[in-house]
Amino acid sequence: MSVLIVIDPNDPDPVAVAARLVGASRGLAGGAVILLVVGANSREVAGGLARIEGIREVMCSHHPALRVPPEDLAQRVVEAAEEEGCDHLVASAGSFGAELMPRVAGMLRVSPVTGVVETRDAETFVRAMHAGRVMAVVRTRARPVVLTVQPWAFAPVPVGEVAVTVRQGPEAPTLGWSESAGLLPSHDQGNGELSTARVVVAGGAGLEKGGGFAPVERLARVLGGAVGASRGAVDAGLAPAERQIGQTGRIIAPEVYIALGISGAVQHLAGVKEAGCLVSINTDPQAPMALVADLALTGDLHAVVPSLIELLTDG
Amino acid sequence: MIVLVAIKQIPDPLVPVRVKADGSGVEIHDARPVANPVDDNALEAALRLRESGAAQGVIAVCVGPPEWEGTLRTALAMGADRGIRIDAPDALDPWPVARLLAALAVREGVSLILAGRQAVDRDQGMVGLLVAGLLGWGQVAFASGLEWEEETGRCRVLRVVDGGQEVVTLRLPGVITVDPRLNTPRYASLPAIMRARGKSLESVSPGELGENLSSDLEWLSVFLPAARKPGVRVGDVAELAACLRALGVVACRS
Ligand SMILES: Cc1cc2nc3c(=O)[nH]c(=O)nc-3n(C[C@H](O)[C@H](O)[C@H](O)COP(=O)(O)OP(=O)(O)OC[C@H]3O[C@@H](n4cnc5c(N)ncnc54)[C@H](O)[C@@H]3O)c2cc1C
Repeated sequence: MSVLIVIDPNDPDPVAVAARLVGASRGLAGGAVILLVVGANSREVAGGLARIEGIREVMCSHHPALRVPPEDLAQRVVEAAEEEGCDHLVASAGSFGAELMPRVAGMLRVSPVTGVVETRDAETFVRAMHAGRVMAVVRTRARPVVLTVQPWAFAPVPVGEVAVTVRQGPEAPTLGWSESAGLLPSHDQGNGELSTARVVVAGGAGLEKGGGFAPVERLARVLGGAVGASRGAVDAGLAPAERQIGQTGRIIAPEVYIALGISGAVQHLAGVKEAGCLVSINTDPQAPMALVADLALTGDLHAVVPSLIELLTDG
Repeated sequence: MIVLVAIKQIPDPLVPVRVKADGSGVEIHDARPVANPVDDNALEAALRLRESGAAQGVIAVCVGPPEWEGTLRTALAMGADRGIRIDAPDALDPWPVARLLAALAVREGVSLILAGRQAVDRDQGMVGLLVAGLLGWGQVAFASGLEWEEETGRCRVLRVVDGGQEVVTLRLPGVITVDPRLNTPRYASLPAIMRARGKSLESVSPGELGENLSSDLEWLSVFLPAARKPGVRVGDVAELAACLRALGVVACRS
């Protein structure tokens, strides 16, 4: 009985994500938890992962690429799982796991369960559907159980001082199917990382008329938060695609989410409905975001943001 | 190359969904059936590959009941060369859908499969990538840009990932799942819609593909997510600032 958790070595904070995924796997078989990390930088990352409490060991596989192709990665996941006889394979529901785990499941000829936010038992899970408007309880008879998990939905286990063993993972050959040329250089002013930021300031199509995203970026910078965007803003070219929050973007749960000029379509709300405090600043008091927000201010964001910054700055 | 585009028919995603009184499933009233919006982006990408000379044929495929033929006809009207329906019940799980698509792709000698990154009804996001794993083909997920490179015989794909946008090249045969940002799907013209009405659609049974419909998932129940507690309207910016301060949100020293 063991759980294999696959970690993205390129995540800005792999240890924080891993600690939550280990927290999520507590509801599973109750057996040993093994972490697997693959890539040119896997060694450096493995050291930090080894201090997460409650795991048996970290498997570390070298690969010549920093961004390992999913075909090569999936091969190693399958080999590691077979070697250890794992009955659960887990990765985060962000783009890393969302790309990897369905492939792994296809190779193992089982159906995965994606976007898990609650584990009822080792084979029964809760996940969102229809842009987060409905939750579904699904049970799988597949073995092994292949899952992607929303990290924010689970409390992290502590990270301690003592490190478990880091050992050599599978060394499958490279297959040469796909190859990454790296990330595009970005003009992104996004500051913090969306998945870990305590505060996220997001902008919508409401910024189109006032000359762009500067107010969002300024407020995020001042508050030490990350920048998010609605699809309306991305489609208008105001923000890069990877900043999009929602059903077809990122699903996040910051402590505070400040929406500037975002109407609050269900597809957008799907990405933030678990946020601690939703704040809406919108000229339209009837906008869905204003109706659902914990704190709603009716007003023009171009007037509100500068005075808000002033009022939140001491001295 | 022959391109297969997987298309799911779903109820209009902008219509509200309700949970049935007994929690056994969802109800969506008066929603017109539409193609899953991202699948239209996949079809548009396939048509552009054919128009640029990279692809020789585009096959639109639905795995669903006869009522889904309207969606396949729309795909023909948009420009697909053939429309094939694999006969299956509505709401079939992604796992059997993937097995059926994989079997059809092999039968038809397809070298590129395009699919939406997720169907926006169940939001599982797995069909295309399951097919890639089953067939042992290459894959790229979440494409927001796609070009065929004649010199290298590879697809050059831009994809949206959590940390930014990544450039990936892909050797074929392969599977690419697409993001809504990939393109703007064309509309079918009225004459094309009329012509598509006269075209014949092909239909295949799972048995003919050597497959069955078995799944390993059991959908036990559905429920509404806990409602957020009612919020407050703040009167002015000063009040908002005070509330934010109480949450520990203040300007950092820079
Ligand atoms: C299949 C599908 C998937 C989708 N996925 C996503 C997704 O992942 N994420 C997402 O965000 N959307 C998604 N959408 C789109 C979604 O339905 C909405 O169209 C989109 O979220 C609207 O963006 P918006 O709120 O920025 O724009 P709008 O709806 O145009 O809202 C702009 C708001 O700004 C306000 N405003 C204007 N000027 C000012 C001002 N000066 N000060 C203050 N307020 C002002 C207006 O009152 C309005 O409420 C999806 C849609 C579909 C069909």
